[in-house]
Amino acid sequence: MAFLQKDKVFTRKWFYSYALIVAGTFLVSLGYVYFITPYRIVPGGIYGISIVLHHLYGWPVGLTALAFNIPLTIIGTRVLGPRFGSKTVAGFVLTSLFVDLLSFYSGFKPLVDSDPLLSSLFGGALIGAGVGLIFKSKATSGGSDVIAMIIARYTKLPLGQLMMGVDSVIVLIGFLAFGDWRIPLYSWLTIFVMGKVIDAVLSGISYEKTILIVSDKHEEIRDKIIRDLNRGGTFLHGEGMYNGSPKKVIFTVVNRRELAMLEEFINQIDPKAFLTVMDANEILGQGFKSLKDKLED
Amino acid sequence: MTFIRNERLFSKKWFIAYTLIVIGSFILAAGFVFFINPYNIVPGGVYGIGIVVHQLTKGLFPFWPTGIPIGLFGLALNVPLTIIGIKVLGPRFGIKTVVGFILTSVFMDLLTMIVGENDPLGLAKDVFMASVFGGVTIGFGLGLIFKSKATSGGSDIVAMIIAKYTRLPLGQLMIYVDSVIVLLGLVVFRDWHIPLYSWIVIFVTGKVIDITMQGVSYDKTLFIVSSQFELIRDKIINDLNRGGTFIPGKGMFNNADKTIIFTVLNRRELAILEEYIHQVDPKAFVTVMEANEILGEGFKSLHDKISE
Repeated sequence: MAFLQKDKVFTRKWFYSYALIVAGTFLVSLGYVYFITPYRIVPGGIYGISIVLHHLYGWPVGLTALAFNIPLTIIGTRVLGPRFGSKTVAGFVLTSLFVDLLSFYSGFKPLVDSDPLLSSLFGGALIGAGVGLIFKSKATSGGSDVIAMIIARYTKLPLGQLMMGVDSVIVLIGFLAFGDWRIPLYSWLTIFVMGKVIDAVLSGISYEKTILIVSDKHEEIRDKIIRDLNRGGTFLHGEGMYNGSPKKVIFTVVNRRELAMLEEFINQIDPKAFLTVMDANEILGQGFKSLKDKLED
Repeated sequence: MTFIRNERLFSKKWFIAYTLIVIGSFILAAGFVFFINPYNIVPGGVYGIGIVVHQLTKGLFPFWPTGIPIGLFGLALNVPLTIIGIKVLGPRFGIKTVVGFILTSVFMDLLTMIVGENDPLGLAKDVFMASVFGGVTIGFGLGLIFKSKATSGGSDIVAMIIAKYTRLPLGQLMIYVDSVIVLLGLVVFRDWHIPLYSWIVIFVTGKVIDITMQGVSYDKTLFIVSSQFELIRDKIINDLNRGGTFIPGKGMFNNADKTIIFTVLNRRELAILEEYIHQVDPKAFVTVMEANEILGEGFKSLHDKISE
């Protein structure tokens, strides 16, 4: 039962989780209603299928998706065990509700006309932001991912690949249904942007840099980092691969501005120093957001 | 006074800095004139406000039939903002910043007189393309200006002043200030295309500024944990001609001694090394990270970077 993470009802955490789900499902719905559905873009998932059915038979997108999600969740629970909590159910019910309400409000018209490229990008960004918030509440997205999980269980193929496989099949159904090559291309753009934005929401956009410094003047650099930049760091005791001389490697994390100051300082005392600078997606710990903050927010 | 960096007059550094500013301002101005202004995109900043005011003042002055020139209006905002900025924040804005925004305004209005404001490149049917290329040119121009250590002035000063009093992070505030200006465009033009195109411009501009300032790096930082570290070392030193550092470690599972290789390679060398490691130790553990920037032996030197 380790999959099911339940928050106690009406605690602060519970309110926070459900606020994330409400905000997230609303953003997802805005994305579908104003950017994706009117242009017949089919970005995978249960909503992709529902968009196809909507344009072919006039069925409401949200209700159609709900009609898929309920049996899928039941089958998923039967086959895979109790993986899907009430948060997942609340998520897909709210999405369906918002999608159909907003569709009536928007009159099925896109926010911007005559630019499907613009719409596929912003649709992907909004849906990605929403799904990111839903994932933050520890709910699963349900829907077509359940199909991938069930196939994964019987075939032992990697889940990530299967999810992409299922979505690609849905994109191709869109192509077959509408007979227009622009549909799959816009759809893949939407899927791509969605993925990027989900990552950005979940791990945050960070301007911090991880740096590794190999320099003989490590003591001076250490003093600069500790005293002037007020940052910590770790010495790694290494050995040059070329001639086996002992080397100290400094491992530290600074922000952009501090990096510029540090580079200027190192250039003054040891222009031959070797340093590699990497983007840190996420830093947790002293001087940054703590791991505790992250898991509790 | 550490914020202002003055190069000695007519030194080599001084010439490089001012060349960057002149070229950067020209490219920045051209980005607006060719890609942004003709389509009423409002990508934040004083020129964003200038574009809105330009439209609102159409036909108001007989000598400016299409409205107040955008460059001139930008200048009219930049001068007081810089003065207020210096009063509130101290002498942060050097002569280079002032030269930068004056040149940008002059180039913008001159170029507009030459090429006109009516769809100069024929992109009216493809404004999306115009916003992407507008973002690229503006980002490149700003990147060059930043390289000369000038600030961009303008709406960033507003963000800096708010940051001083509220202690909110500056990066976030800059985004808020620009977003308010973007929404101003929506309110005035009453067309949702405007803010969406504007956000595309802002996004692309940010990416291109980073690329201009840091360069695109195809180098990778590697950590290799392998029992065959001696063989891998020989390959790196002898065949790839790269350096590296051994870092002693302990396996978390059984405390066995391990040697970690820390090295940096380019993409092609990475492929060669991975193939080799696969031959000598298929069970090796390799993590490959994108390196934004590598300075030191075998790469660009720190000295080159700081003195450029």
